Amino acid sequence: MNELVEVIGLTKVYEKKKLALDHINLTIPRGKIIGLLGPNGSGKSTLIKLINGLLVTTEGEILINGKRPGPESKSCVSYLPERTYFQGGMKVSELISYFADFYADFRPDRARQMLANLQIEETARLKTLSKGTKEKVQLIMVMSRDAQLYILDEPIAGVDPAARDYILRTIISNYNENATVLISTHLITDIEKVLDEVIFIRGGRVVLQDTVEHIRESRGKSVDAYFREVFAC
Amino acid sequence: MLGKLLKHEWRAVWKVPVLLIGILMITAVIAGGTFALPIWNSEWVGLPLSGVMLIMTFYFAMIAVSIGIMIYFAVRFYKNVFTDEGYLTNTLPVSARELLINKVITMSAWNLIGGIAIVLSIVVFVIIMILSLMPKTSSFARDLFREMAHIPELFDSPYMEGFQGFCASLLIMVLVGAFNSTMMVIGSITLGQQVRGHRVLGAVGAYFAISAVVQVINTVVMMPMMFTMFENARMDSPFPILTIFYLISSAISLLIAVGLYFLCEYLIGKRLELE
Repeated sequence: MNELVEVIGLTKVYEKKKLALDHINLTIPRGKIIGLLGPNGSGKSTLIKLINGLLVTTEGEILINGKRPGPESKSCVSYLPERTYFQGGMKVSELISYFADFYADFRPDRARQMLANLQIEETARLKTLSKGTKEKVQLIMVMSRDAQLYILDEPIAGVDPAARDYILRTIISNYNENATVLISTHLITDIEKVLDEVIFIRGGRVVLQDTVEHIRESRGKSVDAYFREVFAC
Repeated sequence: MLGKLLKHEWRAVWKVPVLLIGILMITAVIAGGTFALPIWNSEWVGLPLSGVMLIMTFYFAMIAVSIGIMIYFAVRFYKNVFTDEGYLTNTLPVSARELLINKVITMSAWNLIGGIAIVLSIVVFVIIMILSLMPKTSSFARDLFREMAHIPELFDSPYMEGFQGFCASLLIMVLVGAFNSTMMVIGSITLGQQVRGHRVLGAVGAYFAISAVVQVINTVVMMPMMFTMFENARMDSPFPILTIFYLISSAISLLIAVGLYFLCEYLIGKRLELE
């Protein structure tokens, strides 16, 4: 079974009948870095939250390794939300112990190495760190797992260009060849060089799923340029 | 996984309630100690008044511990499960049941510890007050211990019939009460999440609504029973009646708490919406 995630007829309607996803069908293979791209309000975050079991589907289903979102799928999905989500009172070292306790695939040594590379003290409390440093800590925790699926929601949005390069290097160098990385972002130029595939999503519908190579060959332009063409206002 | 959840939950929460309890104990000692000060017969009203103020501080500290622990855990539950922190909590590879049981056990235990601490603080206050008021040459302590030796004889009195059963029912009521008050808070917050856009307001509304329903159930079930019991009771000992009263009250509380637990487990496990 090469499919890691199967999304079948997925629909999500929020309160007041706001349609966020409209009968989406999608297959996410193993061993790829995939960009989930779309303008604001296109349904990217909704899809990500549904895969992580943080929202309830209105219709359709999601299968991760053949299982619906639940404790089993959560043990093989490493998720970086678009917000600061760790308890501010925790020390970085406590966070390492927390992740090590709950995720069998967490590698504390890898986390410590990355923290040392960025000169982040393990004794520091999260609330004393800057927003950018907190985001780096979050990414380190998420990428220090040997997960099958990494879902990164806007991982480079809030950090400076130098840190972006570090983050992208971290993503590329820390996932194994059987794992898939799903990255949602607006900053396509920065991330395009690491992507194998892209999924364009608009108005809750998938408008394109293709390899980066094929887009460049068939359209004769970069993914960023093609994105601007497809989503031109 | 439940063991790990409990370990991290206790590690994260113990400081605040322990600080509150520590402050309570200090105020109990200070309030009790005021009786040893030569301020009570002072002609200047300010001195005895400041003594009264210190005793009042102890009184307010007891209320603060009781309410403070409840509010602290309510806020923590809300933040930890339904706000940004929920993105970590709800993506842990644990079931909704484990998640909820962890929260219920921790919160109930701290409710209980808070209650025990309040009782202990009263004991500390009373002991220090007695020691402060007791003249140095008095044989009060010796007399007190001599009298306490006669306490077992009291249980032979017909007025003390059923006292052991009453103590057991009281213990059951305290334990169930800690679970019930926890579920009232957790249930209200979880139900409040169904009111999209006004989740906190929804939680407050749910708390009052649940309290009202509980009150009605208690009144409907308890009142006729109370009248029947009092009519048929022998009036020499109040304990058998109180035992039955407490047991029925505990049973109602337990049923409500268990009902709220399963409702919360369903809502967190099947209807979670982190927006």
